[in-house]
Amino acid sequence: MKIPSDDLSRRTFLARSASRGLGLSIAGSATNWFAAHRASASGLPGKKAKHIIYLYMAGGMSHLDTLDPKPDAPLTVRGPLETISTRVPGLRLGQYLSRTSKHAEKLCLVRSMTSTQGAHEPGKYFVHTGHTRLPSLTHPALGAWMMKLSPEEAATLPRNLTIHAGNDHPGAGFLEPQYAPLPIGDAEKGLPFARSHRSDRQDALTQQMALRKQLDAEFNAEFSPGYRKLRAYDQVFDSAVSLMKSEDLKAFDLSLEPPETRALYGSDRFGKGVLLARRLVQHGVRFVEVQLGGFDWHSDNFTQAAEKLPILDQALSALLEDLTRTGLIEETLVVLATEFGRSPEIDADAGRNHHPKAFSFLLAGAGVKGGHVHGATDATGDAVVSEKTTIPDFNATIAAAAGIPHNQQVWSPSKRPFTIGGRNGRPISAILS
Amino acid sequence: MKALFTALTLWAGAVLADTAPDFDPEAEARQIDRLLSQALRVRGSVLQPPASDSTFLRRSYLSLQGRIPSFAEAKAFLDDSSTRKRTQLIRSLGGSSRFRDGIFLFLSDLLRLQTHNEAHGLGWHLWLRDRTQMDAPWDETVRQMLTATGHAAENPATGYYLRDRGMLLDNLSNTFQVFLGQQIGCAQCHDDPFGTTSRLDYYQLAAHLEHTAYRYQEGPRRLQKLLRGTRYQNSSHRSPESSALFKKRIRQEQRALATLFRPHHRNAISLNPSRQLKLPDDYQYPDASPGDLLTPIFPSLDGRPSLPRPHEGSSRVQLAQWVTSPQNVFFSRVMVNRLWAKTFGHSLVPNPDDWSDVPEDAYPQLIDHLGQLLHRLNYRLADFTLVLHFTQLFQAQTAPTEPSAGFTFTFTGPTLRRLSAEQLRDSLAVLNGRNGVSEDVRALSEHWAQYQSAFTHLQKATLPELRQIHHAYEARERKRRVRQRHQSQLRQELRQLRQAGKSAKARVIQKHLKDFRRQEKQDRKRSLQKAANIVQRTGPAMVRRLRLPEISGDYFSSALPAPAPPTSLRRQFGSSDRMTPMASHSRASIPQALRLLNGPETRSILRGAGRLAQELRKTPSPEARLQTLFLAFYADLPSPEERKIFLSRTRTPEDIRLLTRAFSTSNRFLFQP
Repeated sequence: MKIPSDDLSRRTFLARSASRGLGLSIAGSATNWFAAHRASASGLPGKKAKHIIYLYMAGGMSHLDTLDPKPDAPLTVRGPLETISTRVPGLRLGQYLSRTSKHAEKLCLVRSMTSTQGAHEPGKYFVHTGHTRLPSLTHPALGAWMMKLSPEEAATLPRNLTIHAGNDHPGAGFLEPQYAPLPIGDAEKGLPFARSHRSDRQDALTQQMALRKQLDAEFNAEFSPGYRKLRAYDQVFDSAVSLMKSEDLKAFDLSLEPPETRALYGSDRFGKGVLLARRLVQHGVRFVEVQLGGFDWHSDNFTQAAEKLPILDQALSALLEDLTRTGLIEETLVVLATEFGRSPEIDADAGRNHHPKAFSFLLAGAGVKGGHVHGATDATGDAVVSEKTTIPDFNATIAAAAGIPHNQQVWSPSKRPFTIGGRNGRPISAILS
Repeated sequence: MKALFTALTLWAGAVLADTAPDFDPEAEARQIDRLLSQALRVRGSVLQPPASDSTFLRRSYLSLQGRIPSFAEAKAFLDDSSTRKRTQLIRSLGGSSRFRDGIFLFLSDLLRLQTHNEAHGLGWHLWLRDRTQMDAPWDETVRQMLTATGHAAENPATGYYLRDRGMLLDNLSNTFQVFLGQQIGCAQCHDDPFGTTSRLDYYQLAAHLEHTAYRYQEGPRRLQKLLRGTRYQNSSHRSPESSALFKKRIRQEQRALATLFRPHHRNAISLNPSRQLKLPDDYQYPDASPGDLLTPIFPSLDGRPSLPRPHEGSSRVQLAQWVTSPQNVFFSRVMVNRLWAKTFGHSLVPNPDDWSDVPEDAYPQLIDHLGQLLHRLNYRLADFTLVLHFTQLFQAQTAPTEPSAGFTFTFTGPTLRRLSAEQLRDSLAVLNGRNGVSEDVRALSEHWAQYQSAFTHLQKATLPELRQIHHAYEARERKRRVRQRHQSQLRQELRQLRQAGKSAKARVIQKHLKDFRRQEKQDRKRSLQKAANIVQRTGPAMVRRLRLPEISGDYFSSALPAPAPPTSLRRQFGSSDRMTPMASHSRASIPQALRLLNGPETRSILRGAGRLAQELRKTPSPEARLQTLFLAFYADLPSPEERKIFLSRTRTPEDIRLLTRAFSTSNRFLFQP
């Protein structure tokens, strides 16, 4: 099978082979990467986000020290940190989000998040999938939902990726493996194993592939007529070789960024992950999640905040600045999520404990209002007092912002119907734009 | 090295000795062949002719050893002119522990075993492996899991319930799917529109588990008793004020010492007879009301009348007996159908997890016979699986076309399969291995034994000892915090310097950080060595999470914790994430191709001291080198045609490298007919 060399015809080729159902894929399988954008049939606003950059703070980020500070609460609750005012009246952020605060007019805070899951693993699962865990099936994470509910289109890059995510990511869940995110373990290294070794002769790859075909000639003649999955392997090898030679691979190469941009995001691992996410989005990727771990501050909350939050602040503000500069913000939604908040009480070890009852998420960019605060907690950040927002509501909102029907049913192999927002999730129309 | 050749050196049938004396696997296999050929005749089909020696050999190794044969093993078999060599091969491979490890991997996928899950994951892992190595009866294994109580350190079978801690009802749905092929999960919320299970049925079934609680009671109880003793001795002649103060101190101490027992709640199952299951608040049908108490009742399966209730035992014991009862035909049939799929690439009943709609042509007599055979073999899964390997079907050429989902497959031969992620990894490990690959789980089991002894110690500890453990933990925790703060400051400083572009200074700090981490590691090691006393050694570790030891070196997949990391070769090639039953897959993906083209596993085959590299180096003639490569990857010799094409490619090191890499990415390597 020969792959046409120029970019456009290769894509057409892949699209055609996809429609033949050869079951080829990058992230688990998959006939399709970049999808055309599709508007939802529902009457909601939103629908503008063609790309989503989902920043996940693993461990449970303190809402009190970041997105929902309480400057008037007693010292035993607010702790030693200051708060910052922004250009948006009434919107204050925690001391360490100083750079992000300069983008206040783009931010859409949801300060009325509430979850039912108070432990890390179930909490992470709930936030990623909008469903609580079940032993008999795994629910798809948001990115996989997006893939499933978007029209398929061929492309050379994966459309759904995770960067620095752990082993417990729900991935494609019960959906076909082709919707699974491709995990990137190290942003600096980019797409794993996409480059030939330096020591290889120039034509080594071509020769190797020719030998491979010769070795398989008889075997393929016997089995490939009856077995699609065998044909699929010939195709993934062809595609892999095209990818290795393709311009698209540059999407993974951070060294192509100008030094100023690299400096903007910073030298932290997370910053590099976010920069990679931006590059990928620029190359058409639909959903990319970047994780930053280490938010479980049961002791020394404020020492750890001093270390961790500036990393988040720099990368997030750089991303917003960069997306604005490139105009990508018009079609990209940035999400900041975590499994739960932290308790208002600061304990004897200067730590804060898990607090699923009330916490905050942040949205910015395409499909949502800027300079907006949705919902509120009480004077100490302990409980939600207005516009209570559940995780399924929040995920349904992301779907609406991306023009994905939040209530379209997809059946699991065990014949159970599921939707992106669960049975009760409703998009928050007040924040969609 | 040893593990590599164990299989061949084992005397044929050695391990089969512990089954019934009249058990003749070859005779049983002939009976299966008869039933299959009858069924094929009805379908207007016949079995494929026997496969070549090479196909049979490679298929047998993959199925019974989880890897391809080495070139030496392949050569020995192909050179052997004995007429009984196929049967002998099955007998010798089937007698090995590697074969049983393959069944262990299969069961761990089925049960979603996660080695890293709290402490109980590791305990359950080792327990299940032990039982599989003994070929312990499957029905007994299931009963032990379904009736397990106590702490995982004492009864690791509790891992089955603890796997789904806090999700008892879902765990029950899963029990029905995994062991009985029934989908009852829908009825947890509403009457099943497809099946026969009503929501009331579901809750009446769940009532069997109503006393099951995810708690560890013995520790806290003991603590209370110990402290009560203290209060009694000291508070008799005190004034009311000092007595109040004293009580406060006791409370404080109780709270402090209770932290030692807290992690154990996550690793224990207890029975609480006062717990009652009620119908949920949103119960919506007229036959009962929300809040109603429930009587344990078994549902009818597949329209059959419900089996009689066992007479003895708690309701949970009765449930376990009912699930595994010989009269409950689904229990054995569901398992034989899964093992059939494991052996031949596809199941007899098309959907192994849902027996509600079995096609009429799905081999009813054969399934019935296999179910009875498993029962006769006392539910020994390894023995049963081995019988399947003696069939003509196992020796037949591959079926010419793939099965279609949802339809009954015409088994004229096994299906063409891509090597499973574990088979691929282990085959590459054998090609790469310097000194052979080990199946030893000692690293894991020693770690578990240490956890168990620490737990036992805590169980028996006196009050002063508990205080000592607590102090040791607190001290270690304080030290950890100091270190964490110091590191955190260093990292902040490093960050600021980097941002300011002061790279020379940043390098100094980075070196500090590195030294600090190295020092910390050394200190920890030294303090462990110094601590002769178990309290010091394990006390602090007890209250923290059990962390698995790092395993380095050449091990087979079955000896490694699972699930594998998401970026690993195993996961890329579809190894189960252990979130749902049998979640592994073999779909093609581009990262798989990239990994084989450029990843370390295939690149290193020809480097250094790997077995294949060594062999090729000491083989002087291009002709012999070509043979070695064909034997190593395909367990076959090159055909005259192939010799003509590839011989010129085995002369220079550069060409050999290219050719070897082509072998390691070829379909013929990745697939098994």
